[in-house]
Amino acid sequence: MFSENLAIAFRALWANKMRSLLTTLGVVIGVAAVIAVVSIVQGFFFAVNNLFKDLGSGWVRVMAQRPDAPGWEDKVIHPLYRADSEYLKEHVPLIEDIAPAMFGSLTIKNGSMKSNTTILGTVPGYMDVVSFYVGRGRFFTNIDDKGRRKVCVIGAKIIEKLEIDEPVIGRQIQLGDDSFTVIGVMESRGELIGLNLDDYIFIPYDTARSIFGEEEIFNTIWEVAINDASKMELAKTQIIDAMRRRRRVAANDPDDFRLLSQEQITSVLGTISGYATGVAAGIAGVALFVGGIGIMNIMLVSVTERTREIGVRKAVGARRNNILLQFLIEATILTVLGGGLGILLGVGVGAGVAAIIPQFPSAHVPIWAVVMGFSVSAFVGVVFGVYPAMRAARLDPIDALRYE
Amino acid sequence: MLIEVTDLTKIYPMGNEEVRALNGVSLSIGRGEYIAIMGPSGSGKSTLMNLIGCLDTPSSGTYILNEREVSKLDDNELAAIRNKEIGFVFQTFNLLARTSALGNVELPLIYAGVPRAERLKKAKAALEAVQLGDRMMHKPNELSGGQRQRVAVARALVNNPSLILADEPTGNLDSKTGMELMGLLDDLNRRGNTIVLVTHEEDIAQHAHRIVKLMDGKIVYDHPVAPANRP
Repeated sequence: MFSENLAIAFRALWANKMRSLLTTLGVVIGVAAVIAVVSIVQGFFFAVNNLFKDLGSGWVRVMAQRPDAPGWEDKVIHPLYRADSEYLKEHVPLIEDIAPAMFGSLTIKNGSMKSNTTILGTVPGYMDVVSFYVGRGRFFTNIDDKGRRKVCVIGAKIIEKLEIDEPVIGRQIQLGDDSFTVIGVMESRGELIGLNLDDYIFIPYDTARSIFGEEEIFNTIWEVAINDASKMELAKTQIIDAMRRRRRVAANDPDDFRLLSQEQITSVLGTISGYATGVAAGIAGVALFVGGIGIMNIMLVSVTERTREIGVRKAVGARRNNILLQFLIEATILTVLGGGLGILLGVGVGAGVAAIIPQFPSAHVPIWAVVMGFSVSAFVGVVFGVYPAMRAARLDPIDALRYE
Repeated sequence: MLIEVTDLTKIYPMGNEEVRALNGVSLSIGRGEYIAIMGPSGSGKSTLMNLIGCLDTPSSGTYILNEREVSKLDDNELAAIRNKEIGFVFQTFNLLARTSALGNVELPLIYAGVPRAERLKKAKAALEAVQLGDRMMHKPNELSGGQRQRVAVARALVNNPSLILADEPTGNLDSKTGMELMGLLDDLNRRGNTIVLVTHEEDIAQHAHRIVKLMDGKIVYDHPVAPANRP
């Protein structure tokens, strides 16, 4: 009986192709809107997440901060000192390695070419801690660091900005007032929403400190690698305890530093994408409601048009449920087809929009969005198809057969 | 007896008044009978046909069809009775327009829950029985009036009903095809089918073996047709 109903429904919809298409347009637009927005948001979410994925689940960043509490507003930030990072590494066994980094912005020069970039002073262990490696040439060593040598490892974008000729390795460039030798180029990470991820220069930590001054002047962060990612929470607690001890934070005072890990970034991104998806769902809800009313309207027309058919079916033995199911299936097929079209349209629009915005990551359509698109469409069909189908099922066979 | 109707009354509300469309009709029809119900419009013959066809229920009185009391059944039970016991042939054919002859004949079997393979076999046999074996995949608009009505007859026959109810079956046919169709009904009766024919045309009614006439909701005439008078 079900397969017969399916065949009847397809035949009826096919007989009124144009009308069916127009009827289901509301559902098409509603589903397309959600799929487009979700695919763009998810694409963005994916790209940002990928960026931090290299850092791994065993990664923590420590940052100095002014405690977010009353009475601390005009206090000076207590910076992170390199010596403290060594203390931390000694006292928290779960720490694999710590890479302190100080950073700021400087004017850079190569002959007549002049530009600005971010300078990061860090240690040889940095590459392993953040899983980001030199592409060609070499990274600096402890000898470079201890000797405060004026060597630098540059991001790929710097070659372009300063028009450095090949061979790049061995060239001299100006960072501020000092001349540095390029010893390596980092692997390229490309761009993300207009942010170039290859626009920076690494120099040894102590070189940075000798030239630019102490930690008070520059921002400092510590990149920390934990040797057992499953003990992340324990490691964080231990880091906080050791930091409070070392920095002599009074027992009742809040932390004057904070930790950031991958899961926090993921959860923040998740919240943002959740809001965006919610807004899209709201728009879609309105479109689907209007679309559903359209479906109901056309199904009522269809029931009226086919009154005689209903009469014939009842005369030869169709029960109420047979007729009810027939029209319900028809409405549901209509909306599910609309949902399918909407998904295709949404995927297309999402990919198109992501392609048009410069440097925007490509759209990503999650499976759950497709499944939801279909289920919501089917739901709309059932909800708005019930009333017309009930009208059809309740028709009196004599009246229906006599209907002109 | 196949049909036992006793003191059947049907009252329709019409504004503040009541219309007694049927006023105490009693009638018995035996298995294998060929009976014509006649009467002018307003005589109650359509109402009686609707009641005998289980399309409607009486205001009072009893109707026993095939040893079952059907006058108090609900919608779905009546649908099941119509499906199993009654085959309809209507004046306006009442075929599904977008469906092939075969699909139309299959319809009662679909609602009877007959499996697909058996359904096709039975529907084909029914169409062959009305000489439409070569027109099975044609849609109603590709068939002549006479062929359409034969499709309707095949549909009425396909589920082996106890009763074939033909309501003005020749009303939309020219006299030649009308005669051919009556020949088909005569033939079906000879093979044992019970036929109730509703008509207002005397010469069509003469095909039956018994004529019942109604007037103002009552039976005013109920006599057999002499075999010599039959066409």
